[in-house]
Amino acid sequence: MQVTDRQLATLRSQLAGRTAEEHLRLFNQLGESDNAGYAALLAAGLFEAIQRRFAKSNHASQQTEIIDFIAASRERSEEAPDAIDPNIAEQIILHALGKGTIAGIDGKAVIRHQIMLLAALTAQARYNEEELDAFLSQVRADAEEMLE
Amino acid sequence: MDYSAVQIGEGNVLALRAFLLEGPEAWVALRDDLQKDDETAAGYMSLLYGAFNVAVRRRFSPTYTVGDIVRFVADLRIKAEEDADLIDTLVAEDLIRRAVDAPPLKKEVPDDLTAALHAEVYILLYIVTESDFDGAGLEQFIEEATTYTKEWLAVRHAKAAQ
Repeated sequence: MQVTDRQLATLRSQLAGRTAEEHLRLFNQLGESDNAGYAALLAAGLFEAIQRRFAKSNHASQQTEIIDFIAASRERSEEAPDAIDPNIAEQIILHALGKGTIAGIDGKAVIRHQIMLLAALTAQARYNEEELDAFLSQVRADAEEMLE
Repeated sequence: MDYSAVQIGEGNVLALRAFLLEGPEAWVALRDDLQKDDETAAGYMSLLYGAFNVAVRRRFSPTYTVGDIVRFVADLRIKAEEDADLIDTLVAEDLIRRAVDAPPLKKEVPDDLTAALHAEVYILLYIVTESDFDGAGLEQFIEEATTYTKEWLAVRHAKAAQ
């Protein structure tokens, strides 16, 4: 199965910091047939973003960086501490680094956190247009491999 | 039994002082006393809870944001290093929010007594270390904690009697 241009454009609109309206407009154009492709894009994107951000650190500084990153994502507003569950976020990141499991977490909560964590990691990476395209191009290839 | 009927005595105050100066190991010698009966244990634990509340209220006064609470717990876990997993973030944030009368978290907070005790102890000792009390400062803190606990127990006892 292939990832479509429309699925990629939808994810790009979110990660490029486009307006919420534009992202929502594109997201609403996705149909049921896009579910698998978009979910694979999200999973591959988050996996790659986590590898880039945390994989190079040793165990001790990795733990510090993960705790600090999640706190930075949650301390920004009154609503963020409720929107992002720190335990779920930590489990998802550790799982992508080959530690622990996310088996006990509700599927919808996983997807919600994948979206928020990917957006936060990409925002912090401060990619320019070219870098974002390169990131998404790799993510697309990884997602398509996952879908095979 | 009505736990709120316990009296805070000199032994409890001495135990709190030792705890604040030496950490949880100071209570190893109290193990027999803590296991004697519920009422005896409630005296020590109530004063510890009172000290926690006073410490947190001091730390987050006069103003704070919920973001400050998030950052505080993250820094606490980072400093705890390999013990970070003993401190559940949501449990710790929930305890602090309750202590400062902040709006409660809308998420489901794990109902885990051991996690709550761990968070309480780590937060209390972290704030005490951060405060860097001199002798007089520590005594003032203990006195404030004792007064707070006695008043808190009296209110709870009055409610239980209704």
